[in-house]
Amino acid sequence: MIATSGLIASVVTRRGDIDIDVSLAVAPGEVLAVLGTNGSGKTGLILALAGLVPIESGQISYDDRVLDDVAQGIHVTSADRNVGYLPQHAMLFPHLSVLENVAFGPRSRGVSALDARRDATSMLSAAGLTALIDRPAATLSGGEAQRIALLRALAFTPDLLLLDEPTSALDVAARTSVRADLVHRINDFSGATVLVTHDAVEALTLASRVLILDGGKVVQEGDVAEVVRRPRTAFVARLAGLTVLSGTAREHRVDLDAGGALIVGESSHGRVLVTVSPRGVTLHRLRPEGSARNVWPVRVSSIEAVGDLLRVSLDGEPSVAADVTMSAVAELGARPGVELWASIKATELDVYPA
Amino acid sequence: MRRIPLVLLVPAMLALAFLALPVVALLSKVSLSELPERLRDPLVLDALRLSLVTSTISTVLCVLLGVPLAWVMARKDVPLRRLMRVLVVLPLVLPPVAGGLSLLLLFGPDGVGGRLLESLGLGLPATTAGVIVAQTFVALPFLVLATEGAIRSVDPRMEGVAATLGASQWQAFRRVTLPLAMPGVVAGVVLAWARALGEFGATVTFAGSVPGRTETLPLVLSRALKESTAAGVTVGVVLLVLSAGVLLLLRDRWWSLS
Repeated sequence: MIATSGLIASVVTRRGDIDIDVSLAVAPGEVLAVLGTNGSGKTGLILALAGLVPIESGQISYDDRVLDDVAQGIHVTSADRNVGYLPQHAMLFPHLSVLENVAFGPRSRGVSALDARRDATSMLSAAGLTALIDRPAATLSGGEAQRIALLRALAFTPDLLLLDEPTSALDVAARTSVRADLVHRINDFSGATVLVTHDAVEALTLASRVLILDGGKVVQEGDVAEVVRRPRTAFVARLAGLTVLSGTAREHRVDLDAGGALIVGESSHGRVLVTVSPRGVTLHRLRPEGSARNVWPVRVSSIEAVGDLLRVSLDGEPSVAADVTMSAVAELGARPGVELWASIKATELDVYPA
Repeated sequence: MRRIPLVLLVPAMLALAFLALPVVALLSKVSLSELPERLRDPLVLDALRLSLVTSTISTVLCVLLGVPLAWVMARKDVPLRRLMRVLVVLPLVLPPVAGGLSLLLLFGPDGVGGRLLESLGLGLPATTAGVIVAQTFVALPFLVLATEGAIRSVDPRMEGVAATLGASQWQAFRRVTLPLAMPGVVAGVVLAWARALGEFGATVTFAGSVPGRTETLPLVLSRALKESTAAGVTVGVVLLVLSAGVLLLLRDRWWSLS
């Protein structure tokens, strides 16, 4: 929490049933991801940072400028905040052209219509979007709209960039192109960026540091690769798409608290956490003969789609999840209640002190 | 397409006939040979001009006052919101003659507003300005309700985005909310104008019936009917053509979406 410039915020507010109480600091040029599920309070946090909802107590400042200070009765409105905000569903103004959308911010800030349009035109052509300039915003595809909305949010060179689930409403193809665009823009952006998302992949691709939000509170914080790879709670593990198991290690064997034991690649002693990636887990109809050190019987509890794979949740000792292809599920006859065998290599398991 | 059930089709057709047949009856009484001559009657022409001028000015007033009120009602968490809504709807359900009487009690020679205006050298009753006041009073609810609904249907997050882009509340209203609500506002304008054009009760009670000054087309119609049905038919047809004409004129641009 040591930052002398950039965004410094301590936000206490309420949204729906969630009491939000979060402190964060983001340096200029840094990207902080706020990762949480629906109902974690991440939308409330971003609206408070944007100045769109008042905070109940706390402070928000950028560099030397106080944006919110409840104790002193300071609240700078969104219009005066110099914050670029990219909402989840683009929210382009449907009655305006792409050009007028991008020029909206500068025009609202007193730039003449002529200059604003000229700047927006060069911004759009620099982004390779010249073909869209005269299109009514209502006619754009989801991916196009999101890319234009990003340009619109950056057109007046804001201090702070707020991204609210920027790719979660898009289909897979559009998601890839918008994400590439985001990486590119954020690299060129000199201010602080806060990215709110429930998608661990999005956090990994765009952010350097992550803050995990659950029930309005921060439950874990740190380097994004570290947090996603070594979650401290089952909640974070689920966000990262991992299973985290606690247990006691004696050399290569970990006796798990919830029952069962795993052989791991790394030798250690004492209380540990073991993460299991669903991609490392293999399923078999019969007990496999092979090199895997960990083999145990499981029962399928549920199956859901994750990207182009199916995630099979398994009850057993331990209970884990396995990501397998559609055809593998068909071959195994996997459906809830079916008994199978799970296996995982010792080297696929990550062990770290609890 | 599936067939419409009889139990719905029959009442629907009855309703349509009920609306259409009176119009047919009116049109069937028009004598084409006499119409041009009757239309040249200076009384009718004066009333037509007066009606067009007053209903248009009333509609402009409705827009200037009603659109801001609609915005406040749709967007602001103001105290006494329910009371506001009752006040807006009241002229809609109040018999127009009672509305005219209320205006008279406020703006008449003995009313608080009337004395205030008189001290400024103005008087409303028996003047064209009085006609406009009466028409605005009865037409305003149509404009406000249509506009309020249209503003409510605009996603408030649009205004939030406009705010982060630096737009003041007024800028967000003018550049985002109002354009997006425009189809509803136009519908409100048409309804308000038609209501003002057809206004009779409040006008005759508050402004009286002075030919050339306060005698609008509906008032002339009422007077003409006392002389003969044939005289009334002419004025009735003029009113019908005016109202229908506006609907048709706007249909292609705004009505067609429904």
